[in-house]
Amino acid sequence: MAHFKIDDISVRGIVSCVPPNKVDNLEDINIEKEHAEKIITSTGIRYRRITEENVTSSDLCEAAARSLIEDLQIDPSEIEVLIFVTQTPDFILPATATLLQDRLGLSNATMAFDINMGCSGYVYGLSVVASLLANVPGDNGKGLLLVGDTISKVANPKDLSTYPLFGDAGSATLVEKKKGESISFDLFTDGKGASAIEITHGGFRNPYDTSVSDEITRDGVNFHRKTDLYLNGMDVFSFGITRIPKAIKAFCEKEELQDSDIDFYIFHQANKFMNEKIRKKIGATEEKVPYTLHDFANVSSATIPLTITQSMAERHTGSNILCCGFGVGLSWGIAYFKLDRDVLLKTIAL
Amino acid sequence: MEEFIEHFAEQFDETERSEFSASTEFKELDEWDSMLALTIIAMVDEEYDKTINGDDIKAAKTIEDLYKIVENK
Repeated sequence: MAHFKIDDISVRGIVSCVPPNKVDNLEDINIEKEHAEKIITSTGIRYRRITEENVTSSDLCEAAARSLIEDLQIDPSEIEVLIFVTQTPDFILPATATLLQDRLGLSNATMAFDINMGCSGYVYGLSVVASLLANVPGDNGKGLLLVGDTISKVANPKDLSTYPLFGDAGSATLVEKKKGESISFDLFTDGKGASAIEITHGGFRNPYDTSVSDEITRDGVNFHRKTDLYLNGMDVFSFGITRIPKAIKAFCEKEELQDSDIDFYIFHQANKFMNEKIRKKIGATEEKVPYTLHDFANVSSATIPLTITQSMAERHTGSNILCCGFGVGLSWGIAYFKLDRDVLLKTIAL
Repeated sequence: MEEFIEHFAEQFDETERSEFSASTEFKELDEWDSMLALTIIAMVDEEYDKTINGDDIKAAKTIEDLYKIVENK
């Protein structure tokens, strides 16, 4: 088990960025009204923010990063690490992080690369940036963690197991060295469950060819192209309600954390039915578990930063938060850290 | 088995209790949908502390089939 703690590191600011175009599941012509009502009741998802065709994850993250750098008055040349976590990159190659280094005007001395992770991606990305900064000599060191996805582009309107559930968002987090602060992590993988959430074509195992535009069905009800997202809701659900509460309980035991040490549990926003099962199993009160599902849907890797900026921006006291991402991979991870009173938290629209 | 049928039936809102027996082909019930499948997975987790997945639901035709799958976990 990858359980570790990085000392002298903290999160100084998070900016999330969503597209302005808001789609209402109740008004969407691709979903029958009666069905839409059912989806909203069970998943908690009503609205989705959807990007225009020419807007990518990196555009959302770039806007978030510009706002973050400006508001915190950071000199871009101080940023030594740039990590971009996404499953919807601009190109197959080069890594989108290299494009973002240039677009953001960061120095050539920046280490920049992509990480291909989804639901657990924020926690994974944070662990990588924090670990790298811990090895930067001296008291200074700043890293930029950009996390975002545009899953709406791979969710087929004829597949109601994905289409009504996903929105788009990007985020930027500034991580820096700070004496006395720390972040603890616990990260997990179970590749046996990989086929529960997948896009099977368009890579090099099953290259893009003319057949990928044919629509297929695995359950006789929902249809998608081979380059679209497939999600086995039942398998993801049984994974979520069993593994996640266990992982959180084990982490709290290892870290000797009581519920009173945790001000907020920030979960990946999968769907309300599953998340509520998880919440009840770990015995957390409703007040401690904020949601952004209703207004923003599941925004893949960006759910955790978006839920932080949306639900905690108005708070002016320091908070200890336990973040837990889980899903595609299957991969899951926990991060526990303190958000200082003066941390910048903001949601913007592109 | 009786207890399992009872728990199974409790997950349904519209279907009469009398419609549930060991030989009920539950996926043929009007009320059955993907959401109910999730509540059954959750019920098995809560009541029996066992994990069933999509393939288990797929493999079971009757409530008894599912009961046996749960028993063997």
